[in-house]
Amino acid sequence: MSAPTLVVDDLKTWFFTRSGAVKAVDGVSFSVQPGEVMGLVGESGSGKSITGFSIMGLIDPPGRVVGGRILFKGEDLRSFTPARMRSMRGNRIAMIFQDPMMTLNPVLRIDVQMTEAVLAHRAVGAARALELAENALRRVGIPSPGERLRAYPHQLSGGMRQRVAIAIALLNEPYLIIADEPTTALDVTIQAQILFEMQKICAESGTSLIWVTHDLSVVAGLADQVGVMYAGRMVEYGTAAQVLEAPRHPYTQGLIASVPGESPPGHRLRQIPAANAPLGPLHGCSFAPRCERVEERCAEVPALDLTTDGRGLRCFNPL
Amino acid sequence: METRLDTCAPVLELRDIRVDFARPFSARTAARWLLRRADSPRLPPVRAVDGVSIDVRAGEIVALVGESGCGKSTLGRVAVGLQRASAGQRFMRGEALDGLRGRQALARQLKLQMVFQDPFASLNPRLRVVDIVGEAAVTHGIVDARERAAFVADLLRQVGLDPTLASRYPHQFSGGQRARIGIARALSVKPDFIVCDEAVAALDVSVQSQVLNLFADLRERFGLSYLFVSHNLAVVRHVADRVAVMYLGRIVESGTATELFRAPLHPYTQALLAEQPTLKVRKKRYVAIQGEIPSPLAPPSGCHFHPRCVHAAVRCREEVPRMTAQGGRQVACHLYGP
Repeated sequence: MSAPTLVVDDLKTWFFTRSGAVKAVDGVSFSVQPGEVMGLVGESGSGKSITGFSIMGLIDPPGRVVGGRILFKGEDLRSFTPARMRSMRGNRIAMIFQDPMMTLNPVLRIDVQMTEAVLAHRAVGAARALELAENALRRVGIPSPGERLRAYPHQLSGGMRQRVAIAIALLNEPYLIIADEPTTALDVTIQAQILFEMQKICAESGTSLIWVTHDLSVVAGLADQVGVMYAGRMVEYGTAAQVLEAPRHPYTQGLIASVPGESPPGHRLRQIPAANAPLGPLHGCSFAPRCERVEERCAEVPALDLTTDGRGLRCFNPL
Repeated sequence: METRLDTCAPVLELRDIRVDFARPFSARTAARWLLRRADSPRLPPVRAVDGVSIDVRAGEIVALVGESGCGKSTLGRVAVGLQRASAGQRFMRGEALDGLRGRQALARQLKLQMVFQDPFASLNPRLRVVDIVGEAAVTHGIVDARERAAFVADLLRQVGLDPTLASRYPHQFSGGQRARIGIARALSVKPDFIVCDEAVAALDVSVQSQVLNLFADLRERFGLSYLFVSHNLAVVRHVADRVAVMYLGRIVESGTATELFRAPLHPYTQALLAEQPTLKVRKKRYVAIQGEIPSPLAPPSGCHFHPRCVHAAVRCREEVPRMTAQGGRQVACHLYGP
């Protein structure tokens, strides 16, 4: 096995608010191999997006990466100067956001925005940059890319815009793409098209992909590895088959059971009791207040146990 | 249960509903018209809903499925009377609704309520929950103003919220709690029929399952009927008794949920089901259906689906397929028609 593209080791990103530190990401570790798709799953507020932003170096005050290492091809991104980090972003590491209008400037034509991304990182002429832009649009399955280059973002549909955002991420052939819920706002048919393109691109070019989502069923069809996050911690980690077919953490099991369409129609869906994950100062396992298998030991924070088959689990009383 | 329900008139019936949206004319044609070089600057209207008939019987959940822009939300708004139909009729328990005026119309209208898509945008941020939920009931004389607090507390309990939270503002609640407030508001005027427009789309899976269970409980308790507008097939499969699939303003297939999901007939339904991601499939090869839903500004001729359809023939380009019965189901496709 070749060297991993990315190793995240004990990453801690905290937000310092007036009412104390919010540990949005609290000791997350995982690694991604070249060409591998890693699914990062969790509910809103679980810290999955903040993990992505931390890797990109996009955490603004009051937030700060306070601990851990982010090794990208063996080098710690945290030791990079802001200038060096800027030369990585959009070049070696790219990000795709949930809302393509966050990526696209509404008053600039697609060609301007795409060539800008090429010219910022490579010593090529404008004509060559335009050619690369057209190729990137073709790779994500946009028909007549030459014409689309001259369009403004508002002239494209939501699915087309998201493809353009993906094409921009692909422009400089990055080693790693972080995709933050890129298909959540799209229809199933468009989502399927985009999942198809992403699979193809990763398989062809060896690009690693971190797919951040709350939708377990998307991850099931796309990811090699799955990490489940809860209240800033990775609670379960393993291959897609291991995590989804034989979940061991009570939270993962609850999530899978609450996906409609897996239980017989008309029956009541399994509910995870109570509300979303608390992010406040909390002792012990953060899932304990909602957990049906809670024990006395759960007042301590369970360590991430790595089993022999490459699975990680943070639970005293697993299934 | 089916047979008993069949004997009584549907709670709500929509017949041949058409909704046209007039388009503002373009500056260029307006200029040409002023210079007397063109007849009229009017553009042809956008037909958002094109001759749709659907009925919902007592205690039934009917789902309306389709991609964005297919007209499903517009049809939902027509059903509750938030949008006037350009043509077609609405019936409630066999009685035509559109001819009614005044007090009578109001009494019927209160029986039709809606739960909106966005639990963040559909609650007034400057009102307390007690006002949001209690306002309509007091205005329409369902409860006395003095009994409002107790009435709201009871409703909040019904939807699984703590009644002591009634004096809070919407921003103090999570997404799932706000969805419940929206449901409590719809229930406050004692409706028979509720349109849920993507009511769980903005929620996390674990919260979504709680709200879906709540919908099921309320149906049992109050005998409610729902029109459930959604693009999420997994949700629809779970809750719906019957399903209607919409494509660009027309219903292309309808039938019982069990039948439709077991063996979809229309090529569009088949494609939708094939592309729905599920937990069971690993490393799925997505063989995407080509293209996107065409613009309703310029719908394709004949069958609207033909440019994306693998079975498209010459006839599909020229002739609009009619709804035909296929063993208890309705499908509009030339593959099955006469």
